[in-house]
Amino acid sequence: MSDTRTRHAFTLWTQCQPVVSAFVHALVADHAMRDEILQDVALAVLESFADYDPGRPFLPWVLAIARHEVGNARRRKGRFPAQLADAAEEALAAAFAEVGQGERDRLVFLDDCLRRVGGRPREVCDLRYRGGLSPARIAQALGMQPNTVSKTLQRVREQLRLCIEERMAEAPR
Amino acid sequence: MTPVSEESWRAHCHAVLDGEATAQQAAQVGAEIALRPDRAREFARLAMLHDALQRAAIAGEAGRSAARRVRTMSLVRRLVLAAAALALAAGAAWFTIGTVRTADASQVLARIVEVVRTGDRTYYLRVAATSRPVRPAPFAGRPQPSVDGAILYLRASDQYVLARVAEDGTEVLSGSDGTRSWIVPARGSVRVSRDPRRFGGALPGSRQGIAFVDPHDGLSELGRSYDLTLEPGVAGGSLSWITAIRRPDARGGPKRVEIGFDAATSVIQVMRLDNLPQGRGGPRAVEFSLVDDSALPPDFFSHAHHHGADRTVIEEEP
Repeated sequence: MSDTRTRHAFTLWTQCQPVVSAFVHALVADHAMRDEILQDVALAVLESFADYDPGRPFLPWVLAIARHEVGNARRRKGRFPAQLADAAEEALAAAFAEVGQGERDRLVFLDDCLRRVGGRPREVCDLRYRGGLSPARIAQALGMQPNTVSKTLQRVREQLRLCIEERMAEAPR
Repeated sequence: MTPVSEESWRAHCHAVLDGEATAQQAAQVGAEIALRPDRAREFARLAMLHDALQRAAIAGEAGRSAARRVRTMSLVRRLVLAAAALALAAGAAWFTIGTVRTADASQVLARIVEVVRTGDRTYYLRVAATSRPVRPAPFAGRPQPSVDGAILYLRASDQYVLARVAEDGTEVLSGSDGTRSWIVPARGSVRVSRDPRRFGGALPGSRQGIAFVDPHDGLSELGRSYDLTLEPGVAGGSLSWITAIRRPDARGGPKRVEIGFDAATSVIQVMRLDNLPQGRGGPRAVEFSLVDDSALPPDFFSHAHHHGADRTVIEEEP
């Protein structure tokens, strides 16, 4: 592949990568597995970029590749059974293609919104996402009920979602 | 399947995304997604939030501190429950590990520097925090393309290519082959200088004298002017981290540098420059993420590789 074409593929891939990452995560719900699959998707995109029709949107094309790579990884690993049925995965790919890039733009406000979360909720959130601990493990470590940890996480995510909405409304168009 | 209330639906979505859903909850979420495009879109939005949260948390210190605290707390709990002799042994082991961590940071950094000097690396740049907008000076010319979303190709010893996208969507390439630096705009003349750093101003950190483009010098500077702490990765494949805090008597440079690396290979996977001095503009925090480490063509870092033979090339006087 020529350098220009590689760069083009690379640019398109980096733009879509956060959406593909979330899509893969939604299918496997495991960060390590997601990262491994993302590498396979990136390689597959570069290798098959010659087959991509520039007249069509890139994201659905790359999401189809991602779905295929998730299937390959499942077969290879013999674990991570599909959480969602085939029809749901297909509908989800269509949904990601529709809302993915818009969501990516909205999430630029996440860092700022995250700074507004403090205290125990912040600690729970960090342990979940940075530490990679399950709600049950967080509960054990912090002496909380697992249900309380799940509820706390849910409240934080809702708070962040609302904060992002507010920031979007305030942002100059 | 019975209809799901709004509250249960969201709770089940989060459970699926956390990998904590029961088979029944997952089936219910799957059925809703398959049948209702609005719920499929909502699930996609929640999934993007989950994914972005994890990435944001990785970039922050708070999570690591919190995770460390939990590991410590878990150890304490186990110690309380264990027999006295076992507790003593475990306590001694913990003390030893803690001591080695700090003492090892410089050695680990030296190993990272050696690895950085070999092979090609491609990084994706993300501006994690911007400074307050500065009113452009009169006659300041066109604004410089942002490094946010730029791609940085590195080879040892001052060889780099930085690909940025300008506001009009065109690509601006700047780089150095180690002896001459250059800039290739989308239109107009290609400019070349014998000063290897002439067009390096856009590189994060270069204005503050910690040019990432010269990994040896830049990273070695961390060992001289910063206090280093090393935090080995958690079992299960997470990154190890070196955090460098600028010493009070040191001048210039970001206040804090975080390097996330693979302990097995010593390859930098993520590097974050935080609290960059704002005297001469530029972003306040920048993150580099490794996206590729395959070899680039031998002449990739020369300007001729990136433009046609018909372009005018202006050699600047030293």
